[in-house]
Amino acid sequence: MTAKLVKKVLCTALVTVSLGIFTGCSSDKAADPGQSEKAAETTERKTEEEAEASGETVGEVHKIGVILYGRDDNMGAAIYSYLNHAAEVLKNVELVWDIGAFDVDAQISSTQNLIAAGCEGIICLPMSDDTVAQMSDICEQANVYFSLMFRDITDETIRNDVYQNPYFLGFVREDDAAVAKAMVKELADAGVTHMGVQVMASGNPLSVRNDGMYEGAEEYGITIDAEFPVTSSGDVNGNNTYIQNTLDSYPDVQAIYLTSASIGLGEGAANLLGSLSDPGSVKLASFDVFDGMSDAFDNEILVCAAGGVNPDALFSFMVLYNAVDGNRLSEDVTELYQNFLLVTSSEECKLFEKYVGNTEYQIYTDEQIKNLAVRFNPNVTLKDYEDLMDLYSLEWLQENEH
Amino acid sequence: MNRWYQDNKERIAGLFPVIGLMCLFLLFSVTAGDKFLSPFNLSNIVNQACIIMVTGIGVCFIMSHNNLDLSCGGAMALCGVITYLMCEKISFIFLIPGCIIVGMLIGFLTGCIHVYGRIPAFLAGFAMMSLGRGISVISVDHKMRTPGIYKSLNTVGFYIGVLLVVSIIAIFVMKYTRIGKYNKLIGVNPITAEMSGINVNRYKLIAFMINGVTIGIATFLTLIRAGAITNTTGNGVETNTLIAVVIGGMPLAGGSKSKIGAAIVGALIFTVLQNGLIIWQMNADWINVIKGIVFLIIVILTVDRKHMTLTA
Repeated sequence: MTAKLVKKVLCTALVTVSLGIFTGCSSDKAADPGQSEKAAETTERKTEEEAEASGETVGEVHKIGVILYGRDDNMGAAIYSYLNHAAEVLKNVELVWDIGAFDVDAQISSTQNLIAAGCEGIICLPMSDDTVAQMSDICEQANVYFSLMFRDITDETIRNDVYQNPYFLGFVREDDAAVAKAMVKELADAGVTHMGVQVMASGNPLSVRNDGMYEGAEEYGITIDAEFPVTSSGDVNGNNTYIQNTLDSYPDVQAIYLTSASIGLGEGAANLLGSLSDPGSVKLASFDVFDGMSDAFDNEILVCAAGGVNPDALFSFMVLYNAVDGNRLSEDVTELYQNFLLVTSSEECKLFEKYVGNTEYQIYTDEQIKNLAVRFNPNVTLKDYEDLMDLYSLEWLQENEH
Repeated sequence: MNRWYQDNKERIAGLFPVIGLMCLFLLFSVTAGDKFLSPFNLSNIVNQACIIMVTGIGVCFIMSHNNLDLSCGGAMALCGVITYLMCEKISFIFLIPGCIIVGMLIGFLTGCIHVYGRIPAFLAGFAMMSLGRGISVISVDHKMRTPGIYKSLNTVGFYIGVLLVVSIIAIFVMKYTRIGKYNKLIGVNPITAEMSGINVNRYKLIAFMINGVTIGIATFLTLIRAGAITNTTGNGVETNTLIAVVIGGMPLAGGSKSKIGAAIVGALIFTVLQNGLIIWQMNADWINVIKGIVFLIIVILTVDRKHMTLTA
């Protein structure tokens, strides 16, 4: 009897909580359709009034879908913050987020769901070229524009196919290989001659980092004693176990080179190296920045960390936004490249934390964002995008502080 | 009334997952009508649920004799890599039978490790999952793209066709053949089953092989849906399948109440919820919380607490 009662009470409580969440957390399109229409109407009217007051007209509100792996690391949080802010500034765009898709199948489902949700454009950080191939077919059939952030298409066959798709707008990415090589130089300058390296799985679009790292090792005379893979699930403990085993098996190793330190791997590695009997005896070079970098620099563990490419997402988004808004910037596929920030000291780290690490700080001003939109700046071209992206550096961030 | 309820209690409880699915469907139909009920979206739901349904059907056979299979995702990757490499040497005409045969052999191997190695099934499955995942990562340098001739099969009609065939055969085997009946009996009490003259190991092994066949079919569906075998093929399929099967009403301890329908209903609940929340433009932070709560409600309502052991 008691068990039955507990079961009933538990069910009622859960149903109540879920109903509360359903009504409280859904967008204005949820719940009762009549009410939601009224709510949408009110919001629209308010937005129009605000727009009129500021001399802008909102017109049709576009929906853009964003497929993101997560938002609990610096990069994911920054993308979430920058794009939401851009949408607020642009006013006539609404973002639909699909967060957590980590493999090809999940990203295909995300694409389908976002199109079903009425998105006119989709921006994606694809997990592999195969995602892009399938996404391209789905978007072309649905007449939906799409663009990529942080990735290009490495497979030639897929690239040729996707480039034929009139709805593929292009990509923004970084020169990973060059920075990977520069990081090895930093290690060599710090006196490292032997290192253990975490390598990106072949086939991963980021595996070009391995190429830059190998090239750097050869050029700057660093011996690679051991290699271990990036854990497929981003498991910090698994990564630390690899590092521990590397250090136990190869006592000559003076540095660990991480080709991917996102999702907590960097913090984990820095903590592990800081807990050695002689902290600082094994250096760390990290592709991707992480929380606690400043301490790692102060403790002479971290030699360099590459990152800060977060604004990449904004430019890819703006290319997509313009197309969705009926002002496509180029009939050709757009290829833009974003600078990395290579952080090499505690001072630089503080600057980095202030401008980039703080994901609530908007790197670009509202005016700069508007200037990237044809609706506000009819003369904008891709050259303006490139010029603004070229400026990106720690010095520029200081000058541009707002 | 009360007596009628007592008499039909189990039958009513068995209907909860279907009622849950209907409620979800109704909720999204009313609140996001045009978008949710559009032919494009309905075909998306089938397309997305199909792979979980097929793997779930196989898992029902394993669970019916009170076991768990954690190999699905890794086994799919392994099956995909082996079949693809073999077909590349011979001919891609054999891709479908190849997937099924290789899948069945993987199931057989997992079953043998469990039955003859006397290793708990979930550990055998876990080992197979790691093996498959590892091999898919190692072989990722080798581009394994779906041949063009199969791309035309990526239609909702094909998915429904495959699902119908697999479901009908599975329901028949589970309900009307010794394989299904004996596996359920083993789930109720393996000792009684053995003393009744049933070759327990043999029927367990057959269940693993059936699971392997469904893994092979799911691998083929993945090949035509994702367009390739990659190092992420099958990621998370084992978890999604188990969740789907359990919320679909499959008893955790297997036995006489085991039913194939659990995989179908559960996969649909799983997919409809995911799809509907995106269409609702639900705050991204809350999607997993809501999914968790809905699953919890359905599990609380449907789980058979009397037979909740997970040993075999």
